[in-house]
Amino acid sequence: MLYSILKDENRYYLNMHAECALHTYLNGFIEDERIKNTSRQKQGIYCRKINADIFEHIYSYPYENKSICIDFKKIEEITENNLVAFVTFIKKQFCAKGKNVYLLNVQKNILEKMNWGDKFQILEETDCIVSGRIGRGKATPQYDQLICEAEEAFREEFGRVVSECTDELNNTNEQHTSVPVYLSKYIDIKKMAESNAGFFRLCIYYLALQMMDKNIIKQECNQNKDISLFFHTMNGGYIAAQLAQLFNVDMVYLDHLGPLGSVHRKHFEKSIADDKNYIIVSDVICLGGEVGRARTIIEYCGGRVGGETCVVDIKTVQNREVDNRASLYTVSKTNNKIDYKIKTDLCAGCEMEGKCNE
Amino acid sequence: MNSAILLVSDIHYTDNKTKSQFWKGDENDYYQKWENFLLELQKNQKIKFKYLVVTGDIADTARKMEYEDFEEILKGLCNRLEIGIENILLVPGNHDIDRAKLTTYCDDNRISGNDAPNLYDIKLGNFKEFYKKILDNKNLEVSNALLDYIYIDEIDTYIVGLNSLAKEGHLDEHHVGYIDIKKLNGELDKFMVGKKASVFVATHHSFAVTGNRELATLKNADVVKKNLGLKEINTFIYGHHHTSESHLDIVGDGGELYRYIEIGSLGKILTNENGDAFTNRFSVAICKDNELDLHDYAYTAGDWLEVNDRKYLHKLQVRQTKQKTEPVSQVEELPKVDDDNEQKVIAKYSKEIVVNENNRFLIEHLKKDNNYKDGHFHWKDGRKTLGWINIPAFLGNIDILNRIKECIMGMHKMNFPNIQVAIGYGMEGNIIGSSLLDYWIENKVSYHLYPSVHKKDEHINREKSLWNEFNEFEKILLICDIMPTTTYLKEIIASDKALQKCSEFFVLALFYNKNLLDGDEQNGAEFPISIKRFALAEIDVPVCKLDKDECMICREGLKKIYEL
Repeated sequence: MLYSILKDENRYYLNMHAECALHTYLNGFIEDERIKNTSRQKQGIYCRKINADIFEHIYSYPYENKSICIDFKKIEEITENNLVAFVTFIKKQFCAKGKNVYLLNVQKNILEKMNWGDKFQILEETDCIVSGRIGRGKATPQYDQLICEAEEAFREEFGRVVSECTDELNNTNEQHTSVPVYLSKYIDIKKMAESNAGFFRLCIYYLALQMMDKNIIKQECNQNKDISLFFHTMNGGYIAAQLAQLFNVDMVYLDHLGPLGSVHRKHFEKSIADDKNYIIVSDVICLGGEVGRARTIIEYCGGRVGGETCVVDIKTVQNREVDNRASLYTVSKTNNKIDYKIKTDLCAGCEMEGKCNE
Repeated sequence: MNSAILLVSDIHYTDNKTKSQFWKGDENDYYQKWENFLLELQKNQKIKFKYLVVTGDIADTARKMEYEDFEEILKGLCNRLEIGIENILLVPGNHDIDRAKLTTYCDDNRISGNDAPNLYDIKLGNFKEFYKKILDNKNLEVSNALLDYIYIDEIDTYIVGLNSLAKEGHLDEHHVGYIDIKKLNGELDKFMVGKKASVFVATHHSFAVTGNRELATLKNADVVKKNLGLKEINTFIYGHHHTSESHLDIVGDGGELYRYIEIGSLGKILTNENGDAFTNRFSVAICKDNELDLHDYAYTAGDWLEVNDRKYLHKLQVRQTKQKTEPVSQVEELPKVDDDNEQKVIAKYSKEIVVNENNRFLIEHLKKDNNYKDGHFHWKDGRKTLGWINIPAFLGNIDILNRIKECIMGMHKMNFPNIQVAIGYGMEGNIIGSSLLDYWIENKVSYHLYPSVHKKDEHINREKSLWNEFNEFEKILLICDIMPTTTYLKEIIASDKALQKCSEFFVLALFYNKNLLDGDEQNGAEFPISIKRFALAEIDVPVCKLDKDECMICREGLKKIYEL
């Protein structure tokens, strides 16, 4: 399965690092504990090498007659055998059919081994990284445009999935007890994860990258030793378990902070260590009540909150930006395609039986 | 000092250095390292190699020269380990067939290719000669189905060597493992007269499919297993696959238990399609009080090391017959699940809980601070134990979680490869299940998260529902932290129609407390669907024997797990 492949009307977009990072389960041939431990530090988000399995997935994908844009960002190593086979595949699948192939952010030493010669037209170049095109045609999109279009392809797909998994909430029985307000919509993260498991993994990968960009998680695997992921819901657990695999970090959870609003297990206090940072992992942050409670508990127990992360962040009030919060999708006054509304009994139209009527 | 059986297979001895690790003479590092390792193993493990079983492919092309060279090596090894010839069992493999000689013989004598498999003395002539030289002139009747046997005194068990080459000839279409069942039944009946000891069988070809190598399995494995089962033989030792994936299997409506001991290749230089090298392997079975401790060793980075991660069967009870699990039984009434009038069905509930043997890491972690608490605890649903495991300390630790993940991947392949749906049950089950998401996706298993039925009030319907396309699936794996009691399991199944409608239901728990499950097993027969249970580790935590009202701690609500 290819996790990262997306398409628009012009071309496919493929992110090699996402593929390596998301194929995390361990290779059955590694049996030596020492080798295994070393290899774990080079897995998940910290992987830099594309192995043969990933190429197999690339070769077996059912491509339509389109061009392709492949991003090699963060990839530092590909064996020569795999490169030879990859170039042969690209020539046969795309070049021979008159389609353009864009290779972005390729390390120069890797590109040299691909041996494209003058067929490779450079679009962007730094000391050791190069991006370019193989193919014909006058209108060539530039590097920045390709990156933007790839990001847009992801945003569009994510927006589509969010809309598909957002349902109307008309009945008070369906309202979640964890927030003391009426919500017009229910963003069903569980449905999103279950019906689009592969794509949702890609979302978690991008969330992980954002956490690194915001320095919530460190750039080097061994710098994360004092970091644990904290969660308190089933959906949070689903996301955290995968982030933990990507970052190779521990997890702490509380069952259950939200609806009951109580802490069941005092042993939890012992799980929070003074010298550790905790990143709170949620599915949707609405009013921030649960996250606030989690923050209080962690700090009360002596831990530090190193950041918050969620799939959907609802910005309810302006100028209340939370430091160190990474989210994949923001619903705000200016970006509210799903028409998300929060009401209380104090709003007009909500007086009767708690229904949120417009 | 315990006696041990040295289990070796697929040596593929040849003079071609690119094909075999084995070389005659002391200059051969590989052989010398192996022998040294065996001698060290005897010393360190306080064992004595008393028995040797070789499950075929001793030579690579079955030429006389190959056997002559290997004879010297084998005799030297047995001398140094002091293994008596009465304790050596050699079984031929498909590479022990002299195909060149067989082809020439058939051509010279105008014998049809279809008749070639019956020319036992020609095809196995060189092996027979080798056998004679190793075992002090002992004659091997190579056309028999039952070739030879050894008796393992310490565990009162015979290991019987079977001939799986009945249909092997020199033509490509004859490259198949097959046991002549008619011959086998007659010879085994004769052999077993007056014998009360257990019997294990050893062949070259496998009795179970390893990986996707279906063709490498005995063609008539099912028939042979059925026939052997009638004689209470359910333990199979074999090689051929070059891997060592020993495991248990419970099959059929009656829940027959089979035990497979797969021996890796000791000598073959192995590479896969990508050029990655496989490790060479051998196994050791240590005889302890009425059981065998199985250990795998692999040649890794120039050294022999014990390996556990691809081995699923580490301990074998000797006095164990095939009917360990209870047979199917009829039920009068189904548990009431909802208002729908469900049809009554036959229950297929296996009492057997298959425990992953590669669980030392879980037990070690359990011993660490705060991971196990003594006390008198009652769960919300009335279950009561005199101890409690701090599960978050297991699932929150990424190294432990990764090892749990590896174990489950292995168990999936071996025990429930055809599941279509995996469900992470409760907070803990969901952590385990979610961490395997890439694996589920790769294996086309749909993954779902499902909250605990005891927390139904804490979740809205959407969170509790199993996704609607679920109804199309038939085989479900439920992942949880502690193996639920049968009463609890019924509650879980009754909580959603999708669970009730599946045809096979597998439950996989991190821990299984045998005391918690004792006593409620009779309820098992009432299950509406086929249930098979698996656990990564078995624990022995005592439970409160008193009823809810009799137990003061429970009655007065003094200590409950959910409000510690």
